[in-house]
Amino acid sequence: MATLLALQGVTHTFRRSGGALVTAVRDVSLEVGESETVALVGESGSGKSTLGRIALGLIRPDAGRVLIAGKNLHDMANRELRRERIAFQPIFQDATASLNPRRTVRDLLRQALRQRGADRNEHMRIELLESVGLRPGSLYLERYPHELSGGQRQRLAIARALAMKPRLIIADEPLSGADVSMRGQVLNLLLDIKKERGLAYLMITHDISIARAFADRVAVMKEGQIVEEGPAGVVLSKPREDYTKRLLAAVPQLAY
Amino acid sequence: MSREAPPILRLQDVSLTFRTRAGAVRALNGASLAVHEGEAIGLVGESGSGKSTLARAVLGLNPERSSRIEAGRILIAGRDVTRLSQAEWEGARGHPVAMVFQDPLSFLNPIMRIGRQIAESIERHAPDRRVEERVGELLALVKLPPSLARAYPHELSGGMRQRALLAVALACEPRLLIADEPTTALDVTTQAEILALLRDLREQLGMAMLLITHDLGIVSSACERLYVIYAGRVLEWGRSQDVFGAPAHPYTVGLFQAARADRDAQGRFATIGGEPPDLGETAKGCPFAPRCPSAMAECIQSMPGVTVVGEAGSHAVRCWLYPPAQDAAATAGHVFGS
Repeated sequence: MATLLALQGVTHTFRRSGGALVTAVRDVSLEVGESETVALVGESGSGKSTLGRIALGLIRPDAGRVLIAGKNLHDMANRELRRERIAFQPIFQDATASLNPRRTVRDLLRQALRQRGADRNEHMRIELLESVGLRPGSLYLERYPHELSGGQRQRLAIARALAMKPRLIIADEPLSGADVSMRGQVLNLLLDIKKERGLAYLMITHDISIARAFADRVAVMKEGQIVEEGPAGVVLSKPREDYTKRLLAAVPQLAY
Repeated sequence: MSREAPPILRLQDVSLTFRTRAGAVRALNGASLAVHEGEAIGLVGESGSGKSTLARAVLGLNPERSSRIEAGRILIAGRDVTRLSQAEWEGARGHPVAMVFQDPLSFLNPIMRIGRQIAESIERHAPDRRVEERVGELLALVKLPPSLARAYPHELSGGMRQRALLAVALACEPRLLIADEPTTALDVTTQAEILALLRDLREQLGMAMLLITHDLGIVSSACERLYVIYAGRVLEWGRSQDVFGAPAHPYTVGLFQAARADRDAQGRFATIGGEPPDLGETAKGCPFAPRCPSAMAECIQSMPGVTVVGEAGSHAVRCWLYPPAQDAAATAGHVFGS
């Protein structure tokens, strides 16, 4: 399996508003292969979202390298950088916040397709909507984000990410805003997309049950470092590290 | 199952509407529920199910101008509080119900030290105590160090804030604590600590708890009985072991499957089709019917009555798959979940 994303010895330190320095990510190395699903699991403040933003090229790390298919993201020229960045598309927890409320679905998709230089006709936009289960697509083009349900907005956010034909989707807590009854729909959609397009996912989540069911590999993050990493079935059923054990023990289980 | 004392909390067929610009929204539609002294009850629902509205209605916390209880009664320890205004609630000293919320910061005063806020709660609800000493007791009860009395809310972590809010709530010595998603904003390890604390407090104080949550794992481990609410209607209730062991309503079945995040033989995740209902629509039938895999003609026409399922007699459902018994008297005792 070829490596799509490689983070090598990445470190990033923030300065808090009070002036104190906080090392959010400390010497982290992580790889995601083609068509692989990796879950990055951790609690708030563990640095997992910062690591996701570093992978997206939104934050430049203080030290270490970010490689996209072997090329250093921060050595690239702007145009090349933009093209490669498109290969990695984000989906965030709050679809509402990432969708401009004053643009119709048509505008939002047109904008995304144009970035790839691919906005040729309405048919493409409709096809994109239908590929995320918004059928018939023509029904949704005139709508504004607030006229969609929460589940539909999350689908639209996924459609917009797909417009770039990404090779990797970095999903930061894509399900934590969703109701339990809607969760399966979004997960199945992500599975379908993966199957059809051979996509890789880096899923950033605090939800162990999602990581267990969805990921090939799991990395557990704590205080800016990856403390344990391996196949999902191994890490989440026979963890080696005390922290992983504590994390798993804390998850409320269905007792019956 | 008959008991001498009235339940600490009883809702009888409560319907509540909100007036919005887009029209009336029926947030509760004939909801009934009972919590007995010392019981831990789970109220399970998704967003928009009415679970928080129900909790707020108990304490008169829904906005007075835009919400109205159209029908039904709310009884606290046998006393009808349905029409009590917020002001009347404020005036009720030592009243037996207290509440904690998902976001403690919205309920703690940001510019007042924690100790002072606990003291005010004591003065309001149980004034004839030695306040300083009592503040110390309450902090110890929620396992916060005495020094935290001098801290401001923003200086505390999320878990500590929830403990501080609990101390404020416990100052009125409640017999029932309503906890609305108390751990949803917390990390799992902190969540486990708060849940353990709630369990200890209930044991120590003999207090009943109504735990409102969307997390079925929490309910199954923390609650003796549960109610499943959907679109303002309670669809199923019973002892946790019975409901989790043999869920009856198709919504409950779907919800449990989805919560397990198991994948079937084809590798698919369990789903409930469709979208949560629009509460503006006043459907005659079961609110889940449009999404229900087992829906029949009668489901769309009318809401079924209560049917007791299982052998224990403590598990009931409102679903046409379980036609109500002819002998209405046999089920009457279960209508309010007692």
